[in-house]
Amino acid sequence: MSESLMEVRDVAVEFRVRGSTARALDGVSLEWRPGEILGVVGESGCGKSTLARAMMALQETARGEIAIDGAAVGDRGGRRELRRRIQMIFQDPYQTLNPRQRVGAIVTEPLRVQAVDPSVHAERVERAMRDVGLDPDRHLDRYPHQLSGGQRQRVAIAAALVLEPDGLICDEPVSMLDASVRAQILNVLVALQKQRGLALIFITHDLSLAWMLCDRIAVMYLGRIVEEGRAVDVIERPQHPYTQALVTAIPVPAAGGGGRRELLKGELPDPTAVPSGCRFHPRCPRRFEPCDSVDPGLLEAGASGQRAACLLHDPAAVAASGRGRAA
Amino acid sequence: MTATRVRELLLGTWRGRFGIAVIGLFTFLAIFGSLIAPYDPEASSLDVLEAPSWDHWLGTTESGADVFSQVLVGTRVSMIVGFAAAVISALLGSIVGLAGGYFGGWTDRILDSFENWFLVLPTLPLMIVLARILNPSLIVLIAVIGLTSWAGTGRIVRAQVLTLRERAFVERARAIGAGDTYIIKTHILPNTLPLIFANTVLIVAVAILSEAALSFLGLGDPTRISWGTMLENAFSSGAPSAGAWWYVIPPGLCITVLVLGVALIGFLFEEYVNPRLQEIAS
Amino acid sequence: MSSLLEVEDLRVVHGDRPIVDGVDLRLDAGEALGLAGESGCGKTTTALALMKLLPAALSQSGAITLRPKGAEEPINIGRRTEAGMRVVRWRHVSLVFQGAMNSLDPVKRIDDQIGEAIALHAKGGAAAIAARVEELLDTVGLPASVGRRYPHQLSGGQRQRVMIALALACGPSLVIADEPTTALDVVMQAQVLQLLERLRKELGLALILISHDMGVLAETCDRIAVMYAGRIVEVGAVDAVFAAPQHPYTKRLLDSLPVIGGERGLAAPIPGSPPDPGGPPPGCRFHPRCPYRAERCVIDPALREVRPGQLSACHYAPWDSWPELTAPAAGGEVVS
Repeated sequence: MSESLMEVRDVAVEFRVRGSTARALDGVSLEWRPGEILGVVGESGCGKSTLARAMMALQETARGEIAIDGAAVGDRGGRRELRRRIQMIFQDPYQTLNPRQRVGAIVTEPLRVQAVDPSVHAERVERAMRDVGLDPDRHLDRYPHQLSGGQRQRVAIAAALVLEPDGLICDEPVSMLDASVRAQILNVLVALQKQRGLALIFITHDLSLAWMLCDRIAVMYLGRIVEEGRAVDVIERPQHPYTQALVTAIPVPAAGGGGRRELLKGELPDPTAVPSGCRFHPRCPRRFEPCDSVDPGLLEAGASGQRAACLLHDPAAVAASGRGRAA
Repeated sequence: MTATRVRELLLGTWRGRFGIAVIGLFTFLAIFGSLIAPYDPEASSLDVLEAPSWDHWLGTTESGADVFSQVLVGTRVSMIVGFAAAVISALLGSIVGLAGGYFGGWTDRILDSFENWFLVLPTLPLMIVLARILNPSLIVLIAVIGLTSWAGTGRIVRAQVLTLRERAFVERARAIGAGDTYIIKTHILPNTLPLIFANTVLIVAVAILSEAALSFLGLGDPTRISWGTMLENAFSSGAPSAGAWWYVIPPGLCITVLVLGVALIGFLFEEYVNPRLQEIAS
Repeated sequence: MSSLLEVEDLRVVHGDRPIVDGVDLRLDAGEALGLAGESGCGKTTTALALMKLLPAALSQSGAITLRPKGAEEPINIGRRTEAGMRVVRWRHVSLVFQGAMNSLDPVKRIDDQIGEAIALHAKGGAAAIAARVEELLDTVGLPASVGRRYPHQLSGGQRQRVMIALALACGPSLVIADEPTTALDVVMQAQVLQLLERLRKELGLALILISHDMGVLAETCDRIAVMYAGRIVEVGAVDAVFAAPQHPYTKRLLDSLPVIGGERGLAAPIPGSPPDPGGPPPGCRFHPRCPYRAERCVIDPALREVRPGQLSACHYAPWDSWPELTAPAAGGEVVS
């Protein structure tokens, strides 16, 4: 039995857009360990949400596979197993609940759909509600429109918990919530990880949040992971020029601000026209000769366990170009 | 749509009250009309085209029958055809719209073209042609009106289902392993029903009017008395030029008032449903 | 020297519920003031009130005086009628709306929309307007080709820049930007902030920047005002407020911000939630949630200068240091 809870193995997802193919995910491999908080960060359009949906088997993949406990999820049975063990939280609390269902029905629904023994329903629902900080007596009978954004997100989390999953994929769970509510929800999620040993994936464009909460972080750019490693290493000592640019762009909430910074220019290229070689090279301030023709894989860089898809970390490439300095 | 809100709309606005009163009155007449009618509506007599009197409150027809009785009994046809045709239209439109909107792909393309075809056809000429080809009867009338008006509902339902399909709560349902039937039943349908309902009420109004028009053109069921056939008989027997206003105005007025009442309720619900749609969307 | 904008006792009510409850502000020409606070605290309402753009259901009172470049007399916005405001809006003060990216007309091209704004206040033929549009696009760092496009063909960052270009169209002295970077990625956000900073310097623009993100405000603003439940609880120079906050709410807001390189881990959230405008607590609006609350807190506090240049509405300010708190409840609190 492998050590990982879930493995993404070279997954690709393609969409046909007006005749051309958009490669939303272009060969992503990832490992998610039990009880781990994994962060997936990147600009909007980088494919992080698509990755989440592919991991939940909500999105068809063009190649690659998802594996749970080492076994690939291929067929119906596999997907059912996946959905019992991994659940997902969505971004918009105002869209994530059916306005015509009461909270009680929403939270019980997964149990009914998965045909869990009805005698345990009531107890699981109550425990899930309390775990997210909602009083069952007050809320089970309410409709979503009677709840605030934070409360709705809590209901969504409770609904995810009733199946007693091993992992929770959270797609921007707090980005549409207010600052203080954000903190409350994040506290709920982190507490769940401690109490239930839940593994979490945090998908976010907020690097400070990822830095604060996650054990490991994967940085995505245009459908690929360009850097991964422990959260502190990736954010405090980034090894890929893209990550470096993201980190320097974070506003610093301290007296004096961030000071002068070199900002990334341009915008994310269209996923139908992925640049040749290293996909980041047109915007990269540190590109050199091989970058427009060689597509680097994830290479070891920086701390142990940290990897970056940058040729600056390939000693052979660096030497061949005559560029004296490595990253 | 909560029960309290519906009650508020229906009883709290003048449109609602008027509409409810009208529909209530005509429903009552549709059921009990033949019992209340003072005369057999088809009984002829020698008092031809007589003006209103104590014996005949709304006068008599060209064959001496009592206009008032005819109006009362005629209510039944209008109400039955109106509501039945609307129900057929709603069912057909909802099923097609739901299937196309939810399943997408080729199902949607085929159903959508089918729908567009019906949308584009001019309804009145189509109704006339169909009514001509088929032997006129109440069933045929209901079928014809239903078939020509379902596409509008279908369109609206399809659009709504398309948006609902992408909502996070539907994705969540999929993520817990729910199948299509369950999702349609629990998530799509309840959020589409208010829309279907509002639209259907308006179709009732259209159906009543269509029945009257077809009957007036002589395409209705000749064995039944309806307001439309009354108007047809009135005109073909020269009532207007004879000055027999009591024969022409009552059925016309009934049609107008009933359609108005239903339409007002329909608009009321539509207005109500639309801002709610925006609330769901925002 | 008199200031560009002076606001005295601004109040906005919805029926009998106060949304903005006595706000005083002062802004000098070319200065950037940040307005911070959570959603619902009244910051957007304040911005709209400054331009008299409130919906009919809300009514405002209070003195708002504007002394822009190019106006001989100070403009008393408080007393202006709708017709009077039309001359002021966009010409002297403009607004970059929240959710700006969705405020563009989807069926009009960009240059038509900007041109429309220019034509409202300036005279000139089509050629002059077109030239100005191109100039504006250039100012915000967009190529002229963007002008012929429709909003849906632009990215979020580009649309935000168009909104800024729109706001600059008539050469105002003051631009109010309501959450200009909220929906943007960290990179686009940095680009937009850098743009605003550059515009401030090049055009001598004064800026009121509204955001719930304190980091964003620290970057661009000279002074910062923190709002809570319709009132200002602290005002001061950015450096001073961040280094030594003088109000418990400001302190809690700052504490919950991650600073990379420092200590990791979630700060405990502020318990409870902002008060309902219909029934605010007596005295200091924040005291029910304040970990430092004490007896005097039930009396209405005044915003007063507690340190040179720094005002606070806390009875117990100045706070030279913040006492240690016993560990507050973790996230498992039951929310009502």
